[in-house]
Amino acid sequence: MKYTVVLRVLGLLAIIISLTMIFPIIWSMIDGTDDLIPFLQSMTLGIGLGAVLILIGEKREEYAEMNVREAFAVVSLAWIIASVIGALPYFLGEYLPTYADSFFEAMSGFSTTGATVFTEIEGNPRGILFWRSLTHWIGGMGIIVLSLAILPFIGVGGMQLFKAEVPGPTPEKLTPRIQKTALMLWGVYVLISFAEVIVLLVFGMDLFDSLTHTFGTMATGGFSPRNESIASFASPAIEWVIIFFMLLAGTNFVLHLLAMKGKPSAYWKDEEFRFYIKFTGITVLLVTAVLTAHSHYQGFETTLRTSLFQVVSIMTTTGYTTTDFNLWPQALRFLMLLLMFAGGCAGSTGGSMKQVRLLLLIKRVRAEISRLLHPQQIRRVRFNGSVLNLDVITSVAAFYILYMGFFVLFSFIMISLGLDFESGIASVAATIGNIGPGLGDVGAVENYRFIAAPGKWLLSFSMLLGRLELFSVIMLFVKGTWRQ
Amino acid sequence: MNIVIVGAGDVGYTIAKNLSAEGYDIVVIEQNPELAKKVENELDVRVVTGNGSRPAVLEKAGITEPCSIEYLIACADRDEVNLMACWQAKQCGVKRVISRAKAVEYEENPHLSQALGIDGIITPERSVARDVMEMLWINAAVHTSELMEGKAGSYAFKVTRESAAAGKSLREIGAQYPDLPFVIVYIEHDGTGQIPSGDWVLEEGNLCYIITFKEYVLEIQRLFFQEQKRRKHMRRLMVVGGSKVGIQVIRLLGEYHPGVEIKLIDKDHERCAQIAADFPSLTVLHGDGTDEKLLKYEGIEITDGFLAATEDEELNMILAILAKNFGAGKCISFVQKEVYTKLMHQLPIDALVNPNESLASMILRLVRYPETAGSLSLIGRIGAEILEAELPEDSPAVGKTLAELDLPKGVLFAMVSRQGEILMPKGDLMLQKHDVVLIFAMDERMNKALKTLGILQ
Repeated sequence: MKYTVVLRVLGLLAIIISLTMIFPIIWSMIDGTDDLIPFLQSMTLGIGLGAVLILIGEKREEYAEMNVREAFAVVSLAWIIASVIGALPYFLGEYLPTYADSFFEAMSGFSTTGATVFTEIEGNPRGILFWRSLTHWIGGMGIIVLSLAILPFIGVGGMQLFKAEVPGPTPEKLTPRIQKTALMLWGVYVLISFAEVIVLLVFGMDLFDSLTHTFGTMATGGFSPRNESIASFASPAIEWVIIFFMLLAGTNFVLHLLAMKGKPSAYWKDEEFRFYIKFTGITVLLVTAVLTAHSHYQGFETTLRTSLFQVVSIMTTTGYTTTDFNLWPQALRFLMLLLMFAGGCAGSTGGSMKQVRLLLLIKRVRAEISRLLHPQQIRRVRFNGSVLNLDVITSVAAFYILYMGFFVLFSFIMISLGLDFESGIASVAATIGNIGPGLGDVGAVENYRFIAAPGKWLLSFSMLLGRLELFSVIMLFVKGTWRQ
Repeated sequence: MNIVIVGAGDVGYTIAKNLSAEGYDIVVIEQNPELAKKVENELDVRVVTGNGSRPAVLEKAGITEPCSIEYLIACADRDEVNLMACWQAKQCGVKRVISRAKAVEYEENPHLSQALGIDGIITPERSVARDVMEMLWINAAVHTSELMEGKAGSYAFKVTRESAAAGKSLREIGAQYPDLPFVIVYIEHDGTGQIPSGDWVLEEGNLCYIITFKEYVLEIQRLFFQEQKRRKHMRRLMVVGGSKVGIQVIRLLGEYHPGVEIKLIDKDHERCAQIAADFPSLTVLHGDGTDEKLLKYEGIEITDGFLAATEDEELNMILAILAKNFGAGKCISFVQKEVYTKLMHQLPIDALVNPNESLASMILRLVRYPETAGSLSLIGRIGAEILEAELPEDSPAVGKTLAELDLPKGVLFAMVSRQGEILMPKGDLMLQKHDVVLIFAMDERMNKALKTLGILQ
């Protein structure tokens, strides 16, 4: 491990994150609210921390290459440092009572989880609310991808960083230069976000609401500056718009890029995208049927829209709600819990297991079953037309096992900390999957404030694990990573 | 500028690494998934896994109509793949395509490659063979490469204890031999090295990289190398392995130094028969190069030169060590991997020659430098380059003395040639337009130097 390289890059990242506080500061200045001072303090502290890291890392040694070890350390630590700094405004302004609460909120923001510890959201200054949503948006496409886009010198080690942060089993470089790939991804992200802001403005939201809700949607985050989330607008049109953009956010951004380059057929050619749409369609039909049978809502459009909204929101790991699905029939509540393990496509801003992993596991299981019938058969798993290396399947299986392992272990700890069965399980599923709202005491209209501090730290960690897809974070706890 | 490189073997990797660091956008096509992964992890390039001769794979790398790729460089292991890739790239409108060829015939018959639209076809064997011949002929040299169309060259000499140069500073040597035109551009010692100043005192074991003219080499050699009575000139050479490059050396020696008695040992009977038919004056022996009896019977201890030229590089190193051990004169071994050339000091071998290095430097020159530039020589072991280039009329360096030039650190002039006249690069030398300069540069600083001189825009 070359510590100096790691420290230097982390220092730069800390400065970048601190500088983004300029945007909430603008809102505070417009409104003249009292959150201005905590923001300025946090920004100064953050830049100071960054400068110290850079100074420590600035020892003789020339700009060394980044290897796998350094990349893992940089990525995981970058997210932790971002949250450490991001928590400062909440804490210094005393908008949240403890640092554990503030860190939870910041990590929930950056990891695009959307689980909140605010009991009352409305009434907080707009600067603070804007910051909450902005952390989503930054975290959505990724802190590292952002820095790759704006720091050209990362160059060579960049691919390692990129792989350690970008979700999905096989992240792909679109251009020869990692910097350009990062720029293109951010470009697409900004463009679609811009489109959503415009559309939301057209349908009657004000600028602040449309910006914050766009951040929440495009990052598949879920923070809303309203207590009742999207339901507070009581507008079917806005709900449809947000459903559409949540679906976009849950799609592989490479496909959006290809479509913008004049190849819209790329969507349907992609096996994962087809699976994602079919998966959504079938689930929605099921939910709509059950809700209709129970006459839960009035009118078909409302039932369809409501089920579509919750299904897409949970599946893409956004976490916006228009209804309290905690009150749905038991079978559907369980279905929602299961959906928390689905996730969006690889290369999207969504979290959780990801569609492609489910698809590959299904394919592999099918191959195994077929082999029972024909013991001598050799069967390879194909994906998007090409044969997949067994390595990929093995690492998908390992991911699955590890994901479930963490889910079980953390659920046990949460229940030991005093949560009931259902809430304990749901709190972990909702945080490791970066969804936000769970069931029971952490359901759609509840929050995470009541959980004891150790539980909050654990869930924060669970969010980080989920956002970086386990392995990058686990590497921090492997002795070999730190060897000189 | 976008460049596609087919094949990520040693040559492809070296080229991709150099060009990517210089700011070109590189896509590498490689069939072996493990190599592909390695390149993707180590370099900032895009990697496409697949066979570079297949249209679908080339398309993935961006070779489609219309096409924004300026160069395609084919350096896969197989000629068929290279030629197919080049042909398809040309069809799609890639501006320049360059191919490596293993078969010497392609270079000999340029109309074949021209018919396919290939702009440059490169076979390193010939120029490597020339360097090896030089090295065999110039006793003390452990590295040679040609410059200025063969008129000059770079040579590496190791200083011996009793030699005239040992214990003297470079300035003293210059004063003592004012008529000898040579420049010491680099000195390697104790595992490190640097560009020396005039105060540098030569010691035994210093490896001096020298740029000079052919006719002075033997004279200069005498400065650094104390001659043994025997073996003033090479008379007997033993070659093990009838590989292409080995055969090229034999052919060249036959042309330039017909008096040398050459023995060739090869394991393969068919091949021996073929070689014996092609070179009637050669003693072709069918046998194993590690066979002690055979070697001794054929007089290994009295051979002046030994060349290990089988296709197996590790075996080559062993063969050369063995030969040295049995008392052969100058022992040279061919290797393929750059990393092995770093072993040169640790092994009791006189020289390790890497044909891939020449190939990479020939390809790099075609891409990097304007057509006016002459030969480029790459010394991979010390990470240096020597390029020959003409100063254009509008060069900012014209009318300045060398002392006034603000060259980047690690760059120096090795020689200046003005209308055929050789000028030593002294501080007060005033540069004129159309001067041909030999530039020595460390660590990818050549580009910067060329920009300073107005040779590159």
